[in-house]
Formats: sequence, structure tokens, C-alpha cells
Amino acid sequence: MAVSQWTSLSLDRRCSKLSRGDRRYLLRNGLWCLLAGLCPIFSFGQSAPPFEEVASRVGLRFEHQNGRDGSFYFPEIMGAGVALLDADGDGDLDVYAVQGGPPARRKGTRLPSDQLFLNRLDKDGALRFVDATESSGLSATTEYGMGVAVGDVDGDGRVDLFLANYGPNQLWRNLGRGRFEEISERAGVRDPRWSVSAAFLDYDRDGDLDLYVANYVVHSFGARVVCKSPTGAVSYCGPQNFTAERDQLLRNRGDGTFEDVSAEVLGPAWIEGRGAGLGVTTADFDGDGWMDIYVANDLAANHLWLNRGSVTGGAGPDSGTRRFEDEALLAGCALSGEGEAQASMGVIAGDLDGDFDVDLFMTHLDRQTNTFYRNEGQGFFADVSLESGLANGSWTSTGFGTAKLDYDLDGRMDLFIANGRVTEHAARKAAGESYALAEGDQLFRGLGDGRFAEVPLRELAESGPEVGRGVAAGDVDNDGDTDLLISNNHGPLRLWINRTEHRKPWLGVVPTIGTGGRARPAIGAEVVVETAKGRRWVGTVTTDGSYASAKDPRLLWTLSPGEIPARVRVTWSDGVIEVFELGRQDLGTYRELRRGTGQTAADAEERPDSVGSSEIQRGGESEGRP
Amino acid sequence: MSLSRCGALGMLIWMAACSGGSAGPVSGLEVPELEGSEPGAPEPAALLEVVPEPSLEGMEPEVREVLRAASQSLTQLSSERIASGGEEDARRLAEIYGQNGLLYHGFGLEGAAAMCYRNASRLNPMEPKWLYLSAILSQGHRDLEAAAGLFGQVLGLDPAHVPSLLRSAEVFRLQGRADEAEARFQRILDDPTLSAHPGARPYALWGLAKLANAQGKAERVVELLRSAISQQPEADALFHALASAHRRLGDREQAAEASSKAGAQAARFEDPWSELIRPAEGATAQLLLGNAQLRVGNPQAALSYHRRAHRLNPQDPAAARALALTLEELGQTAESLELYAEAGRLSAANPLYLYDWARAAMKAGTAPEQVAPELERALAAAPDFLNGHLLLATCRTRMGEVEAAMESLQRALELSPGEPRATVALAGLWARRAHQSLSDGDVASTLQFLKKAVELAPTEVSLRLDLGSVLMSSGAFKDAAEHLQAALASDPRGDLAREIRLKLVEALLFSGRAEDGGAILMAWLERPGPSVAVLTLAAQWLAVGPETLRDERRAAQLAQQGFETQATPEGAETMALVLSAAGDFATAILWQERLVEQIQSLQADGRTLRRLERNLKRYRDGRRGLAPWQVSEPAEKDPADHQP
Repeated sequence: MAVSQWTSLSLDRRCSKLSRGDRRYLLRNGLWCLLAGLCPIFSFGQSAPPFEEVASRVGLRFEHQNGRDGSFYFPEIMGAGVALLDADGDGDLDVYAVQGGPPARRKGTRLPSDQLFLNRLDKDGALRFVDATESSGLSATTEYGMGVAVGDVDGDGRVDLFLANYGPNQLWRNLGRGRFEEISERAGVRDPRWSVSAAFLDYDRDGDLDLYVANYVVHSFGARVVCKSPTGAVSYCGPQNFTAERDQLLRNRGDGTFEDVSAEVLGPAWIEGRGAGLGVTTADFDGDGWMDIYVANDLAANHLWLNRGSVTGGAGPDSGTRRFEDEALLAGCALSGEGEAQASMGVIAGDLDGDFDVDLFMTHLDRQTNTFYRNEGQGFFADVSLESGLANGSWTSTGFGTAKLDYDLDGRMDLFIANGRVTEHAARKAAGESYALAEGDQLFRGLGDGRFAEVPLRELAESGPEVGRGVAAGDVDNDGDTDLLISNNHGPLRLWINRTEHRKPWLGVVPTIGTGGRARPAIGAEVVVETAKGRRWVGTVTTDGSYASAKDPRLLWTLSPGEIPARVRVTWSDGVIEVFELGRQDLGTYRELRRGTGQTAADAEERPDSVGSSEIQRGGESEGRP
Repeated sequence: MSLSRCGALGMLIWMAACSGGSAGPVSGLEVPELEGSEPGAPEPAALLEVVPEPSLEGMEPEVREVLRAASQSLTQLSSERIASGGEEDARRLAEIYGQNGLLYHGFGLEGAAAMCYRNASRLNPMEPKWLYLSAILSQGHRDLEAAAGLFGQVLGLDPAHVPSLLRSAEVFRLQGRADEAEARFQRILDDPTLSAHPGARPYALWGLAKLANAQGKAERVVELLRSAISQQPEADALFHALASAHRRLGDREQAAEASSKAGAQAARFEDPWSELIRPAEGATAQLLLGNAQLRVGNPQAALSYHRRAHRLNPQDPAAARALALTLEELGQTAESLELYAEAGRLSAANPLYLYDWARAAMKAGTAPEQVAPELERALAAAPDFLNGHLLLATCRTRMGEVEAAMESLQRALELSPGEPRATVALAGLWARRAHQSLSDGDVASTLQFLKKAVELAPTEVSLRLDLGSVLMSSGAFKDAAEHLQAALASDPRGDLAREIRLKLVEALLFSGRAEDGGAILMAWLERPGPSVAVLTLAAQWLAVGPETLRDERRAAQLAQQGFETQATPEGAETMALVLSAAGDFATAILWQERLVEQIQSLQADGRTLRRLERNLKRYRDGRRGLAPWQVSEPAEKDPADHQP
């Protein structure tokens, strides 16, 4: 990714964005005439929906095909994900959409390919996407796709694509200018098992990106399991009808090729603990400086792989500490608070309650809660779904993809969920609906202190029920707010552009490693921003989470009016700390924080007002909210 | 409900009934009103919904018949008009609607079930049962507002209905109405009559615990849950919440203990009306009910469902297979095998059934020669069938066809890279070859095969131990130490850990890493009950190991302790060694001479004897002896010689 491009596109397009969003609203209300010439002074409040769905209008014409033919093959209902990535290195986010096709294809049948759309964002913030599938070489991505992960595996500054498939997984190396070549075989990632999600992380702190792949279940068309409802009607199966697959941890050898280290690094817990993996996210959950992995399993206990650091070897009687141990059960995030193994699909890791540690949010089946595991410190979590207000809105929908974002720019984290059933709605089917899985998406507005309230969908965007699956969050038009890319199973791709008025300053940061053209987002870097008023926010650079999808790695915050960022402390994935000075000039921009250009922690800590790790405490007055 | 809303549902049925008497309006019961009805006009006692005919598409014939009959009975009802004052008729109709609701409910046709229950309630408003079942449906859908209202209506009719009290309290809790929930749970506990209802107390305690947990009162949660569990020990799901409370209290050990006891069984109370929901009829419904029982570990209960499913649809291979699985679980292998075979015949195209038969047959001791052809047939139909390849490999291994077994496992690994069952089995076959080579005296091949095995299954400590041992015997101590170290890292507390650690110490000492080996030994000595081997090695290390770390006095103590525990030649050799290190060469010579005599009489291998004689000479020369790991043949190292 040409990170230098991020800063050159740091334009405050408040006016132009507002005019487009509200123009549409005003046109509907016959008030267009009022707008002419009034843009700089016109204030609309929040009466217009905050999101505008623009996919087909801006050239994102993609229809997911699940290949359903009445056979009720299980893979049909599970795909697919989407990715936001800067494929051509021009500083804006492009779109990658994963495709399906008939899952049980006959030999020699070619499936439709995934699609890459390059963003041709103009200086005024007008979006236009160009289908670059053919020119990129990605038209050869003809496996039955499920998910996608993005990361620069060979450190050349260009973001590469990992495709999790029902069938052999693939790795596509970015050659620059939006062109890709497949290197799956030589990279050692061509695992034929049913994979759904994946996450890039540097678990061994050697400076390159390793890969965790969440695999689902053992499924065979030949030895087919047929599932039925109690009436005998054939229906879609669930994971309980199959043996769960084991996940895979792939270590990057440093040259963009991988070795499978699952058994030796994940150890006996990996061998014994299968789980039908659907979602995966990475973060330092226990605050020990090593990246951990959390896996959302379908109707099985989730995994929390805590990274225990280096293998100590056999030098003493108690030696032999593993790199990872599954601590989910003990930590309280394997099952719901009532001990139920939920049908976990999408997952988010992040500070959702503003107390500077990493919480978890997960999406589930209808009649189950979407679950908010609040980090209680000391490596423990508590299911606070009911108390947070997230449970009550989730019982009637089946959640898949999910994203955290500050959609209303009030400085608090909100949650978006793409919903879609996995079994057909009996009454709607009886009424003639051919694929009765559609449900409305949901957004929960953060109220502070880890509480949320559902915002009615009609107030968000003009959007009807669909079979939601993947969600990728990112600032597609580089205007300082978060947009949403949503994939629908057997349906169209949606792009929700955030049209919320910017009433407060915003700050974007993108920590990078590598020099010159090799600069790339520093996956795993933890960022703590402090303002002149002494308030702080925390975030980690990742592209993972959600369901089968990959998001914008940049970090974005809304500040209070008049508030100035003072400095930012970056803990790189190998534990080295640097502090960067910020100022008014960084507002309304994406500031690149290149490794090696900040002050080292030792230098910075000589200053009494520097951002020290001891200040990042849970609780206290320094909440991450304006 | 308004007329217009009902109109949207379809035809309205008006039934003039239940006027006056006990069938009058009941406090708290929502009797639907007619939009625009004139004040003072006689109110209809009930506004009935037309239950739409469920889509019968794709259903099995028997189920279609049952549901069609139910639907027809309702259609017939809709065409009837009950004469005014027919209270008895209304009750009869209510019962029919209710029974149909129970039927639909059992089949999962919940929309139709809800309509039937509502109609039944309207026809017989004094009957709380239908309201209660309607409330259960709403609770299941998580339509909490409706559920709370309906339970409220039940309690209006029967204020002491414990299941409604408990369920409504839980609904309040889910709604965030914590005070009301707490009051209701507490009422159960405080009222001896209510709490006498079977299961009511533990359920109420659990409810209060959940409320306390939401308030962060972890100690109270522990207290409540312990009480609940003591009253209903089978409710092992409560241990999850208990673990969570212990975590909050920072008690990791208690949390781990509670987690280890946790299961899936929630607290339960007696709920006779919910048991009225008709277990769905039809083969698939029976099959699913049986499967559910099997999943919760109750094969005995599963058996009757699965037998019924098989009887209802003997042509369904899934029913035959399910019954076979249950019988297999119950140890009735012979009948199980017959049924697996029958399933295979019924669905010859699906290799799943052949595989099942083969798996069960292998388990029952059928000759692998009989099983293998069936598996090969299954795999010809489904070459991507992972379990089939794995089982075929087992079959072929038992038949002694190692090469063919390896081929099957390789295929399994192509389908599922890294699959531990395949890697471990394949590694085992390489190890088998290695053992064969070793007995043939072919050390090079032994090492090659063992290395392949370890590469495939790097966490299998026994393989690493074997490889380490063979490497040590061939003098490759450095390589051996690496493998043994990896083995120990994989499983530092396993059954083999002691043996591996001892070998590792030897490998480290022999490979010149005396300090590393000694560090392990010294740490080991800190633990209670070190073995004779450890004492002996540690004594040697302290006597003649790295100069700066020597402790001749402690060496003598350890050597004596080891020899007194078990008198062995190694112990005697060590005694002589520590004596020489302490400068008592005369006694060392006595020990060593006696040892040499014994070894000569035993006609032991020449190498040992040579080593002992060399040390004897050193003692006679007034020199400190060498530990076995300081001597390597043929080129003898003599680090002790370099000491002053």
C-alpha cells in the first residue's frame, strides 16, 4: 500500500460531502432550491439518514451467487465476505467481493470469479469504481469463495490477498498497479478444507505477517448428509450435523511463504479442541504485548488463543511453555454467560466501552443474544450483553458480519450488524418467497460506558431486508468518517456511505513500517492518542474481524470541538515504542506514523507529559470519549 | 386486535358464544375489540383468526396426512356457527384449536400454533393453559413484551401458577426489569407452597444469581449458585456462571474447578403444560427427537424415537442409520451392524452408510479383510471422503499392508493438510518401520524413518524420545538433545517427561553442554523424591563437572543417598568418582576394584570395563576420575585433566 498517498488525500471535504448527501434528502423533500449557494452555512442536523446506499450508482455492480438449485447444500448459505483494501496503492480503498457459484460443480465447470473494483475517488470526493477483475488477473479466482483477508505478506509495500474458500485456499500477490498473481502453491497456503475467515498477525514478532485461518466443518458432496425439518421437508444443515474442522496457523518464513505450525504452536489444545470456526480476530487481549487470537466458533466453545511468547525450551523441569494456550473457558469468553455454546459468526475486538482494554462483540443466531464480552482485566471477560442493551435487539435476527464505527461522529463507538437467516422462514416460504432468509441489518448506537441503544433501520439508510453476511468498515471516500461495505448472500453488494455532518474535528492515523515504496500499515501496532486536554483513545492496527471480511487498517477518531491532538504513542508489534508529536495541522487528515521517525520511548518518557504505559489504566477519568 | 388487522390475516370468523355466566370478560385478559363497534352493543366474545393451511410441500406423506387432517378440522370449524349460549360448544372448540396448536407446535410450525392457541383462549378465556402455551411460544421467539403480557394473564387466572411465575420472572430479567424479576423470584423462595413445586427453588436461585451477576455482586452469585446446585446437582450448566463469579472475585483456582464441572443441563422445574406439546409425529420428527436425545448423551431415550422413526419409514436410510448409531451406543453391536448394512442397501449411492458399517464392523472385531473392500467401494464413490481414507488406513495397517496404509493416509493429508489423525497414524507407521530397521541392525534407516515420523508428528513425544535415544546410541548427542528438548517442551508434565528429562540431561552432558545439563539436574533436585538415576548423575556432575560449580561434599551426599536407595554398578562407580574428587583415592580404589571384578564376572560389554579400568588407573595415579559422559570412545576427552 502506498501509504504516503494517505496523507496527500487528507482533504476536508465536509462541504462537498454534505452537499451530496443532503442534496439527495432535499430533492426528496422538494427543497433543492434552498441549497444553491448555501452550502457553507447550511446546517441540516441529523434529519437526513446518516447513510446513503450507493453501490450500483458508483459502479459496484456485484451480485453474489450461491448456486442454489434446491439441493440445500450447506455451503450455499454461508458465503461470502468482502474486503476494503488499497489494491492499486493510490491512497484510497478499493473493493474486493468474494463470489460463489454452484458449490457441487461438475468436473471441469468453471465458477464465476471474485471481483475487484478500483476506487477512482476524485478530488471533490466523488466516488467511482471501475471493475478491474480482468486487468488485475483476479478473474482466475474461480474457487467457491467464502472469505478474504488482506495483508502485505512479502513486505514489498503492496497489500496481498488471501482467499478462504470452500476448496483450496489461495494467496494472490500484489504486483502493483492493481495487478495480482496467484502464489498459493509456492506460498504453502493451498489448503483444500472449508475455510471461512482468516486474520493476518505477527504472532512471533519477527516482522512479517503470519496467518490464522478459521476452518469450518468437514463436508463432502459424495458422502452427503441430508438435513430435514421435523415435517420431513429438506432444509439446510447446521454445523452440528458435521465434524468440525481444525483451524490452521501458518508462520511466514519471511519471504512470503508459509509453514503450517498449528500442531507445534497451538499444541494439544488444538489437536483436542475442534470448533467450527467462522470468525477470527486478533488483539493483545491480556495486555502482555503479544498478539492473541480469538476465534468465533459455530455452536461450539470459542477459542481464545493467548500468546505466551517464546518457547522456552527444555532447560528446566517446568520448561516447555507453548506459544499459545486456549484460555477461552477459563477467561469466560468461550460460552455465553449462561453457559451456552452460541452460534458465533462475526466477531469484533476493540475497546467498546472506553476503558482502554480489548473487549469482544460477537454475532449469533436468532433466539440467542449477540454477545458483548467486556474485558474485566486480568485476562477475564464477563458477558454483559443484557446490561449493555445489545441483547434485546438481537433475539429476532441472525447476525453475521459486524463492524465498530462512530457513525454519528459523537466520539462513541457504535456497532453495525449485517443480518440474514440460515433457515428459511416457514411462513414467508409458505407465502411463496423463494429464498426466505432476508432480514434487516441493525445498528446500535454507543451511549457511553459500554451501553448501546438500537437505532431503527429506517433512520439509517434506505435499505430493505437482505441476506447479510460480510461487512467491511472503512473510510471509502477519505472524508474522516466510516463507511460500510456489506455483502449479501445470493444478493447484491451494498456500499453505505456515511453522510453524517462533521461538526467536530477528526483525526486519522496510520502507523507504517518499511521505507520508501515498501511502507505498509503496521499490523498489530497499538496506538494511544492523547489530546492536549489529556484525554486518550486506544486502537490497534488490524484488518481482521467481522465475518469473512477485511477492513480498513487506518484508525479514526472524532474529537471535541476545539480539541487538539498532542501526541500519539505507538507500540510496534515487536514491543518497541515510539512517540509522535501531533498538532492542529493533523486534524482532518490521515497522519502517517512511520516507524523510526518518532521519539523512542526512552527519550519520550524523559518528558513529564509524555504518553506512558502506566497511564493506560482501566477506569479512572480518562475515558476515550469526548 | 383491530378488525382491519384481522382482515389482513384473512377471513374473520365471528362466533357468538360464551355470553354471560362464567365465560364473561376476565380481568387482565385482552379481549379483542372491534374497530368502530358502538358503545353498548353486545361485544363478541371472541374474534378468531383463520389458521392458514401450512405449506405441505416437501413434507413426508405421513406428516402431510396429519397436518392436512388438522387443517381440515379447522376449516370445518370455520364454516360452523355456534349457536348463542353454546358455552359447552365454545369450550369444545377451544380444545380442538388448542390440540391443533399443540400439534403445530410440535412440528415447529409456530405461527400456526400461536394462532390456534389464541383462538382457543378467546373461545375459553377461563382456561389458562392456552395462554400459557402461547406465552411459551412468545418467550421462545424472544417476543418478551408479548410473553410478559400472556404470563400476566395466566397469573390473573391462577396467581399461584409457579411455572408462569418463574417464566415471567425470567422474562422480566431479560427485559431489564430487574426489580420485578427479583421480586418474583424471591416470592417463590419466600412462599413455602410455591417453593414446594419441584425444581422451583433452584430455578429461582439461579434467576437471582443472574440478577446479582448483572449487578457485579460476585460473592452473592457464588452463594446463590452453590445453593441452587446443591438442590439440583444435575444442573451442571450453573457451574459456568459459578466459574464466572469466581473469576470476578479473582479466584482462578475455584474458577477452573467450576469450569471443569460445567455441562449443558440448565436448572429445570416441573412444567406439565409444556409437556403437552405433542411430540411431533412422522418419521423425521421422531428421528430428530432421537438425535436430540443422543446429543445430550441419552441413548436409551433416543432408542424409542429412533425405533419409531425406522418403523414409520423403513425405506429411509437416515432412520436406519440413526437407529444403528443408537444401538451401537448401547452396545448392541450385532443389530447395529445389520441396520448399517440395511442403510447402505437403501442408499447405495451414498458412501456414508458403507463407511458407518465398516467403522462399526472394525470396532466389533470383524476381520479387516472383510471391511476393506466395502471401504474401497465407498471411496470409489466419494474420493474426497476424509474419514473413509483414515479408516481404510487403519484396516490396511491391521492387515499388515503398511505401504497401502501409508497411501491412504497420504490421501487423507491431501484432503486435510495437517489432520492430526492422519499425521499421527502415518508417523506411527514410519516408527514401525524404524523399529523393524533397528531390529535388523540398520541404524541409518532407523534414524531416517524416525526423523520422518517426527517431522510428521512433532508433538508426539514418544517419537522424539525414540529418535533421541537412537541418536544418543549412535553418538549424535547434540541432535539428540535438540529432539529431547523439543519433546519436553511439547509435554513437560506427561508420563514420559521424567524419562525424557533424564535422557536430555545425559545428552547435554555428553554433548559438552555440562552447564545446561547440570542446571536441569539441580532444578530437579529441588523437587521431592529425585530418582536414583538423578541422584547419581547429579553427584557425578557436582564431583567432576564444571570446575566453578563443583561441590564435592554435596556430591558425596548425593552419591551415598543414591547408592543406599538402590545399590547399582552405576552407583558404585559414582561413589568411587566422588571419593576421588574428594581426594580419598585409597577408598576410591577399593570401590573401583570391587566394581571392576563384578563387571568382569558379568562379562559386560568391553566399553564399560575399559572405562572403569581407566578410572581405576587414574585413582591409582592420584587423579580425579572421569564421569561416563566425559569419556567418549575412541578418542577420549579428559577435561578433568585440565584442572589443576
